[in-house]
Amino acid sequence: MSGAVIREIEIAAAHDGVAELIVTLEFDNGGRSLVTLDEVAAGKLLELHGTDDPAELPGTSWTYVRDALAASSGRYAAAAE
Amino acid sequence: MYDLVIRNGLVVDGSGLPAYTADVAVSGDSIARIGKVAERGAREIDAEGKVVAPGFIDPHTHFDAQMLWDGYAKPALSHGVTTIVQGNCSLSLAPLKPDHRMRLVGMFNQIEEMPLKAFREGVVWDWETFSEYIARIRKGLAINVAPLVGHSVIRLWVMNDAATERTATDDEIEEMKAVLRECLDAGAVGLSTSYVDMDEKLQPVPSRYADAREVDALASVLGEYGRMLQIVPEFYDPDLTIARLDQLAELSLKYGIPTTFSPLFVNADNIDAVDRVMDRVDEQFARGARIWPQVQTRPIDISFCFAVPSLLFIRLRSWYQIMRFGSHDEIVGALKDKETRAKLEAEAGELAPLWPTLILRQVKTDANQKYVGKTLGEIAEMRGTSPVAAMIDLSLEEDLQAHFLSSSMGHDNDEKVGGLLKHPRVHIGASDGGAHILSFSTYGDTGYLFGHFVRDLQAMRIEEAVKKITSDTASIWGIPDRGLIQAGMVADITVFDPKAIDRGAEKFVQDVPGDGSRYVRDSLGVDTVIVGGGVAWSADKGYQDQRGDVLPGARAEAPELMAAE
Repeated sequence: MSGAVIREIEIAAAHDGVAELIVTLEFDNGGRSLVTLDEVAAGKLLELHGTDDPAELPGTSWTYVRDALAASSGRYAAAAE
Repeated sequence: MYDLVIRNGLVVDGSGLPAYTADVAVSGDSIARIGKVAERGAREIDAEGKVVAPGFIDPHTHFDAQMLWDGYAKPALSHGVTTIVQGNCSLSLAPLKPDHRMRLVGMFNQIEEMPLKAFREGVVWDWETFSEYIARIRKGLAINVAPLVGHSVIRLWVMNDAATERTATDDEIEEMKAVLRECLDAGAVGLSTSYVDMDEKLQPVPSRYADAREVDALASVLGEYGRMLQIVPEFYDPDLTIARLDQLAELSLKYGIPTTFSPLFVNADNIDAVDRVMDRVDEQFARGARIWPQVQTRPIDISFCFAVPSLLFIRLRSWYQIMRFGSHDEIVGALKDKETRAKLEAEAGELAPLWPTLILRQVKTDANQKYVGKTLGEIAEMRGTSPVAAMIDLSLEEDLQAHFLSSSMGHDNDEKVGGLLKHPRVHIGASDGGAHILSFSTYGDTGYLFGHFVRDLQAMRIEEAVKKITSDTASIWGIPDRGLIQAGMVADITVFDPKAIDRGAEKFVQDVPGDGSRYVRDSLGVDTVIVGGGVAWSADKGYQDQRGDVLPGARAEAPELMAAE
C-alpha cells in the first residue's frame, strides 16, 4: 500500500443529487481501487496537496486521500461534541 | 350489476404472460370477472387503447410523516402506485415515546429533508405504539400502506439515550425482540435497518450501534413471522456491500426470511462493481437465500446553486475557488466584477456543451418564475445572451439562490440499468418517495420505466415491466391477494395509455404543512387508479375514494420462497 498513488479523478452523481469526486488509487501491483469523496473531503484533498487544480492530483500519494477523509470525518466528531 | 366495469382494455395481468383484450368487472373490493362482461356496472370506464394492469407496488418509500396529513401519498397514487412500503432505512414514526419525538423529527429532517415546521404544524402526536400509529393513518387512507418498523426507533424505545452510545445488553435485546413482535402483530411488514445513515447531529443513527447478535436476534423474530428485513448497506463501497449481503444471506437462510438491500445503482465509479455485486447475489440465491437488491429506474441528477460549493465545478479552478472559499458577499462581488466575470466566462468554455443543457429548477423572485423549468440554452435565447451569462445573471438576481439541475449525471447507462431492471433477481424500487423532498422529485419512476425502458428503448416487454412492479413485488414482500388481475384478487388496478405514460416535468410546489415546499412530478398517461375497488384517482376528476388498507393484513401468510422468474 505504501506506493499507492492517485491515478484518476472523476466527477459522479451521488444518491442524494450532489456531485462527488471519485478517486482511482493504483497500487504497487497494478491493482486499482475507487474511493468516493464528498465536497468537504475533496476540498481538503486539494488543500493538503497545496493546489487548487485537481489536474495536479494524479501521480501523488494515496496518503493525501487518507488524510482528507480523516479530516472530513473529523467534522462529524466535532458536531457530536 | 357490478360496481365497476372496465371495458375493452388490454389486460396486462401482472403474471408476465402476453396481454389480451377483455373487460374487467369489480364487485365490492374484488375483481369479480374477466372476459366479455354483458352486465352493466354502476360505474363504467372505457379502456379502449389502454392497458389495464394491477396497481403498482413501490417497495421503498418514506411516506411515514406524509401519511399523517395525506392519505393519498400525493402524487404517488396518481402515478398508478396503489401500495407503498414505508418505514425504510431504520426509520419509522412508531413505536415512539413522547420524549423521543423531537429526536426522531431531527432524523427525518436530516435524512429525508422533511421540514421541522411540517411536523410542528401538520402532526398531532396522538400515538406511541405501532398499533396506535396504524390506527391513526387508517383514517382517510386512500393508498395501501405496508409499513416497516424501523430498527432505530425500536432501539430508541428500549434503550433511550443509550441507543446512540453502546451495544445492547442481553436484557435490552430481549425487550427489543418483544417490541418487534408487538409491531409485527400490529401489522408491520418487516424490519428496516441502516448501516450508513446519520442523524441531525451528524452522528450515526441508533441502528448503527447494534452488534451482530442484536441484528441476529431481531432476524429470529422476523423468522417467526416470515417477514422482510430491509437494510441500507455501505452502498458507496462494493466490497462492504458484498460483505453485508453475505450477512443478509446467512440471516435469510438461518431464519427463512426474505431480505432486501437498497440502493444499488450504476455510477461512473461502480460500473464493474455492480456486476460483482450481482454475481454474489446470484450465488447466494443459488444457495437458497433471498437477498433482493433494489434498483431505481430514474437517473440521478446533480443540482446546485452558487451559495453552496459543488464539485461539479472542481475542474474549473476559478469557479471552484470562489464557490469553495468565498463568503456570500465575496461570491456576489466576484460575479459582479467585470474582470473576474470575464475570466469565469472564458474558463467556462472548457465545459461548453454542459451549460445550455442545465435546467433552472427554482428561484425566489416572481420576475424569474417564467424561466423555471427551462434550459439555460432556452433562457439565454429569451434574454439575448449566452447560457453562462444567463446562469450568472440569474444567480445575482436571486441572491445566489437560483437552483440549477444537470440531468442524468448518474445511473444513466441505459444498457446497464436496463439489464439490471430485467434481471430476475433484481427488485425494481428504491424510489425514496416522500424523501429528499427539497432536493429532487421522488415520484414518477414507474412512468419513467414504461416511457423510457419499455416504449422508447424497448429494453423490456410491457408484460415484463408490469410483472416486476406488481406480482413480483407482492410475492417478495408476502402481500396476499394483490399484484395480479385475476378473479378473486383485490381490485387494485391501474389503467394507463402505453403510448403516453411517463413522468411529468419536475416542479417545485408549496403543499407541505407549515408552508413547506417540495419537488414533485405529475403523472402523464395514467387514466384511472383503483384501490380496493374504488376509484382513488382519475385524470379527469383527481383524487377520490379512500379505500386504502394496511398490508399485509390479516389474510397474509409467510412470503413465498421466490418470485416467479
